[in-house]
Formats: sequence, structure tokens, C-alpha cells
Amino acid sequence: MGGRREKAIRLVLRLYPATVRDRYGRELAGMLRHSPVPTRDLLDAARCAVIERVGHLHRPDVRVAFLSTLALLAAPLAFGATLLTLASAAVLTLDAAGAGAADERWARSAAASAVIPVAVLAVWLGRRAGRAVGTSRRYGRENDRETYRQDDRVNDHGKEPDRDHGRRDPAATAAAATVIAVPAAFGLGTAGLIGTPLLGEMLGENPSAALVAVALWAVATAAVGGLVGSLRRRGHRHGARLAVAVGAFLIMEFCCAAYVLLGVPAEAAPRAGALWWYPAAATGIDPGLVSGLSGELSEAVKGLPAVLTVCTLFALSLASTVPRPSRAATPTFPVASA
Amino acid sequence: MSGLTELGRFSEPAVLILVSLADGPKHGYAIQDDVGTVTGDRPGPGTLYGAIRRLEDRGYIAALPERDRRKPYELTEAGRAALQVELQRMRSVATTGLRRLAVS
Repeated sequence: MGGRREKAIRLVLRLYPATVRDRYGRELAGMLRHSPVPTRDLLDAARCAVIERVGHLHRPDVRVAFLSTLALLAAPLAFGATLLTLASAAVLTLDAAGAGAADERWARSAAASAVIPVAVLAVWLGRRAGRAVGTSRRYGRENDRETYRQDDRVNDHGKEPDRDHGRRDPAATAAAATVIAVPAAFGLGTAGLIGTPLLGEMLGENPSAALVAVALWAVATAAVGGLVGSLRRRGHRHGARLAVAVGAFLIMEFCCAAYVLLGVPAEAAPRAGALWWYPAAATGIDPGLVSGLSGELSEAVKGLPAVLTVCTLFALSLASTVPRPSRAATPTFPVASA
Repeated sequence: MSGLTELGRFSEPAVLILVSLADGPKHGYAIQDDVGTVTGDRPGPGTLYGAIRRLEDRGYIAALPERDRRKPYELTEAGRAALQVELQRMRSVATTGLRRLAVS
């Protein structure tokens, strides 16, 4: 038997979705290994693997995952548009009241206050999404248990069930997705906005500094999200909430400082005021942290702190809401990858 | 219309697998050989297991405990009923077609 045929068989089997490969891979490989017409059978298996793969993409859970990813990528744009609309409405209202147009400081604070309702919305959405992740996680576990019931029915009578030791626990996969995928998708979505003409100019004067700040934000949010999720899984609900509040502030302090350090020269933005950059950008109350002029900081950082604040609150609220796995519901066997 | 027609490109191999299992459980190789004998065209492994997966998912066939590292499959009651419906449909089509051919 040629080593080339073995390689081809392994390659063809890899084309199949894991769920199909786990169930029929050994039988398929055996049949291909002893085929009298190997080329024809390998081509047939490859064609059917593609059909299975395409069918797999149409599965409801895969479709939901795909649409969720798209929604996460688009979220920074949606948050940014909402912030811009509300900030414009706040400034126009102030102007109509005859109080703000002349006083830029009031206008800046009014515009900055737009982050409050959007942040509340983001927390609500994040918590809702976290509960949805918990529901799908439980659903996934039930499906996996059913799959194994079938496998056991097939393989009992003294035969070891045909299980792949490399399978991942879907609960752990969902937790990792919550912690890593959400900041990664938000980061990519924000980076896409930064790279878009006109839109990018609203997210900071210096695009490369903004991109580095967004990358650092994604890493920091994933790290804090992991901590929040871990506290939540251990039952420390209050600790998790506290970690969300403190973590969100620290992440934003860190990212805003990174942006200004990279994007604004030291002579314009004295580094001694670094700790005040985020509070000043978030509130619009700027005593003159850049070039000694009130409002220059807002001109430098523009909408980036507001968009990232909202994204942070969404990501951390989601991480703090994913229900901890119930021991009673956790299967005692290794579970299949979704 | 039977549920087998929902299987798309796998509906014909599915019918042939059900026919093969109608006289008792068989493993993949035996099904492949049997279908080859009946139709003169041996189904490829991808087509065979693509159809087996769909039939198993719909409860028309069930896997039995392995014997000699081979997994036999058997027809379920639902599979028997579906096969009966499908064969009657095919007979009706064949009868009509043959009658019309005779007339013309």
C-alpha cells in the first residue's frame, strides 16, 4: 500500500467536518485504503466532503455563529454612529437652549455625555448576549450528550467508543470565544473604521497610534474579560461586577494613554498628565492637557475613547453574565467539538 | 412523496442502501458490493457514507455494535416504511412510463 495513498486519504478526510469525520472517518479510510479504484473513490470522497462542508455551513448553529461574528464586527460602527447622533443632538439642544454655542466647554461636556446612554445600552446588550451564550452552551451540551448516546449505542458490547482525544469541551470553547472573540471582533471592526477615509478621521488624528491603541485594547479587554469570567465561574458575582467597573476604567486609562503617548509629542502632551487623559477625554472637562489649551485633547483623541468605552462595557458585561457551568449538567465524558 | 426525496443527490444511493439492508444488517463493504451487484455501479465511499449519514440522522437505519472492526447497519421500522413508499412510487412511475411507451 503506497504512502502516497495514505497521505491522500488523510487529506480527503481532513476535508470533512469534524462531526462527520468522527462518526465515519475510520470506515471511510478503511474503504479508501482497500479500494480497487482508488483515484475514482478518492475523488468521490473529496467531492462528498465538500458537499458535507457546505451543508455544515448551513447548520443553524454555524449560521448563528457567522451572523454573530458579523454583528460584532459591525458593532463599533453602530456604537460610533449612535454616539455621533446623540452627541450632535446634545450640542444642538444646548445651542437651542441658548446656553452652549458660545461656551465650547459646555458643548464638549454635552457631547461627551452622549456616551452615558450608549454605555447603558451596551451593558444591557452585553448582559443579554451573555445569557444567550449560556443558553446555547447548555443546548450544545445536550446535543453532545445525545451524540454520545448514539456513539455508545453503536460501540458498546465490550468495544471502546470511537472517541477522539483531541476533542474540545464546548463549554470551555464558548467561554474562550466570549473572552477572546468579542474583543478581537470589536478590535477588527474598530481598526476597519480607522482605516476608512472620513470615518477614520473621527477616531483620532493619528491612525497608526489609534491602531496600536485598539490592538492593546483588544488584548487588555480579553485579559480582564478572562478574569471577570473566572470570578463569575467561581461564583464571585460581586467580585465580577467590581472587576468590570475597575477593569473597564483601567483598560481605558491604559489605551488612551497609549494613544496619546504614541500619537502626540511629549512637548505637546506632558507625560505627567497621563493619568488624566482618559477622564478628560471621557468627560470633556479638559484643563489644557495638550498644548496647554482646553479642548486640544479632544481634538487629538476624537471619538476613539468613547467608542472603546462602549465596546469595553459590552465585552466585560458579556463576560460577567455568561452563566457558570452547572456541575450536574456537565457531562462526565469528553465532549465533541461543535 | 417519501422523505427520501429530500436527500437531494443522495436520495438514489439512499434508496439502494435501504434495498440492500431490506434482507438483513450489513456493513459498509457489504452494502457497497450489494449495490454494485444490483445496479452494476459500485457507489464510492463518499457517496455511500454521505447517504448512510443522512439515513441514520433521519432514523431510517441504525448502527449495530461493531463486529471485526466493522460497523453493521440495520433497517429501522421507519426506514422500512419509507422504502415501501418510495418503491411504490417508483413502481407507479415505471408502470405509467412503460404503459405509455407501449401505447406510442
